[in-house]
Amino acid sequence: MASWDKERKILTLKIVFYGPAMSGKTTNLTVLHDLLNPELKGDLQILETKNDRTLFFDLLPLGIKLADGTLIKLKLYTVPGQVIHNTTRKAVISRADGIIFVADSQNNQSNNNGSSFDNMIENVGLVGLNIQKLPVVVQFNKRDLENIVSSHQLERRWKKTPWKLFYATAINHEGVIETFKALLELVYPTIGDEFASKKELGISKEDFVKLLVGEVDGYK
Amino acid sequence: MTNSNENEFEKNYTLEELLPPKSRTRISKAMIQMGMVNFKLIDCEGQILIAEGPLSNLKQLALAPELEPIGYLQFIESDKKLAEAATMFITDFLQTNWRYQMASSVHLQTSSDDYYELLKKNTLLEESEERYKILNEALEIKVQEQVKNIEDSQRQLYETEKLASIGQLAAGIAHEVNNPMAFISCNLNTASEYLTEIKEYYENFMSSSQKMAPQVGFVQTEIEFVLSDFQKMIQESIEGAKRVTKIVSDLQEFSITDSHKRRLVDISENLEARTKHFIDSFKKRIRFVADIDKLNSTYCNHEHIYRMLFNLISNSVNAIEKYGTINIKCLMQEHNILLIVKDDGNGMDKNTLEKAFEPFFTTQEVGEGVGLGLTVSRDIVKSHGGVIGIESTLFKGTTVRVTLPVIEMAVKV
Repeated sequence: MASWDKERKILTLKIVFYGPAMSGKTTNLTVLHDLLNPELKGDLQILETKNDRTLFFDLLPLGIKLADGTLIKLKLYTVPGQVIHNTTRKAVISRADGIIFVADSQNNQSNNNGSSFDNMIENVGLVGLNIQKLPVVVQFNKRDLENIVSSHQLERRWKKTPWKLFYATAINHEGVIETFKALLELVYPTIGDEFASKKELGISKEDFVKLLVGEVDGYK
Repeated sequence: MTNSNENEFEKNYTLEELLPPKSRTRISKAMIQMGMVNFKLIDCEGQILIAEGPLSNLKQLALAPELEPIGYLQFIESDKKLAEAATMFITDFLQTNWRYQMASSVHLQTSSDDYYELLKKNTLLEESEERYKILNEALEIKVQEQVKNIEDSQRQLYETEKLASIGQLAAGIAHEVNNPMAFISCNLNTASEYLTEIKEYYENFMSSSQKMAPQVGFVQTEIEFVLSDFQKMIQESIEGAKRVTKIVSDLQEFSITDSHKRRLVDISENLEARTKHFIDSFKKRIRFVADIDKLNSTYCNHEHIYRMLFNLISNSVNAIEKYGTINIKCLMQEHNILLIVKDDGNGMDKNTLEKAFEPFFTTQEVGEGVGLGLTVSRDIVKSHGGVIGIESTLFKGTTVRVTLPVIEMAVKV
């Protein structure tokens, strides 16, 4: 749920990277920090980690300024993937405007992906969001590894769900921006819904996505 | 759950929040030592947090730890290089503090959410425990009700069965009692006629002066017949009355419900003594083999149990026409008392066996047995919670097996 600071003219949107432990959520954020080139890009804030495992969350702020002086602030969060940090996950996804579910492609991770996805749906409900309306895309990461579930099989498994599938090798910068852009496209129309009465968003969907991604080197 | 309010850690922190007073002093000192003498730190509202030197004609650099400026460092043109360096380290300091604040606030929030969640679970647990308790009590009452229902219906069933057997019994009694009563009353009528005749004879005799046999009325031979027949009739009637008495006494045993007479008894103890006299009278033609183990004491009406054994042995005796053997066994089988009476007598065919327990069913001559022995025996066994079974082969012999549970405590039956 986007929040609108009328006095300071700041519209804040929240995107959450969800998924099982070690699936590459923080790597996605690091890559976006390195590749994206919007008008405003904050530093990647890595709160607290223990042996490379996220304890609280990571945060990457991005921003674009509209002609009328409005600042659209995009806050990208990761959740801690480990099962024990569920309360933190609930806190982080509350009022989210969109979720990128980062799954681990390896054969032996199917169960973890499944239970994390179920956990996400459960938490979405618990924090009062509607999973039917919430923009969600699914990214299968680590495509460079051997012993991964084939895309053919994944597509068969996910065919009946409403969620779009993306493939990525985040450590090689592959597929990360595509996933991100797809989510932005889903998020854009929901902002209009939320703020139609309070604020006309003075920007088209194409510009919204284009400006947030910015000029990316070596990316078509 | 925080689903309507924004999370604390997501708020836009102000410069004042990210720069505590203690840090302000230290930063101010550090900047002076770097060589800056004229500078100011202000937030977006223009509130001054640090101010050094005369404050006019100042330039400014934005302090934006996230994206948008939350404050400014104002400085004089000549300090530009130093101000740029100071902005970098102040921003870095602000970010560190921002991360710290976010971490502590998310930690606080999750801890309190966890605590709240635990409290909620605890309340639910207590509630369910309470419900379980109530359910448990209700269940206990239900079970008791059901047990009572079952007991009632069992009692009804028992009563019905009893009524049925009483009906059967009544028919038998009618037949068995009517028979002797018919000839007793017939005999009494004849006896009454005979008495009239004797009286007449006596009066004639008394009125004749010679005190000699009258010449009219009965002749002497006739009166002799009357007297001898009278004697026979009386004898017959006594026999008939005895039969009725026997039926009545058997009936008394048949209606055994006197559980108050029960005592803790080892049945094996007096068994031999009880049956010795009876057995001895058949010793010439029947060999008795008794194999009597010591038994666990059980609450029972031992008079009835001996009566039952006596009935069984008596049946076996009757089944042996000339010579034969009767085996009597008493033993413990697990927690039950097993009593076996086995003979090599006539045995029974299938039809007879089927009717064996029916009241007034007898294979013996009229007057020799009433046909209640096995019926009474079965009721005795039943009233002790046991079972009785008969195996029999025609011309080979019969085995009766009685199993009685050991009852260690006096219970109402």
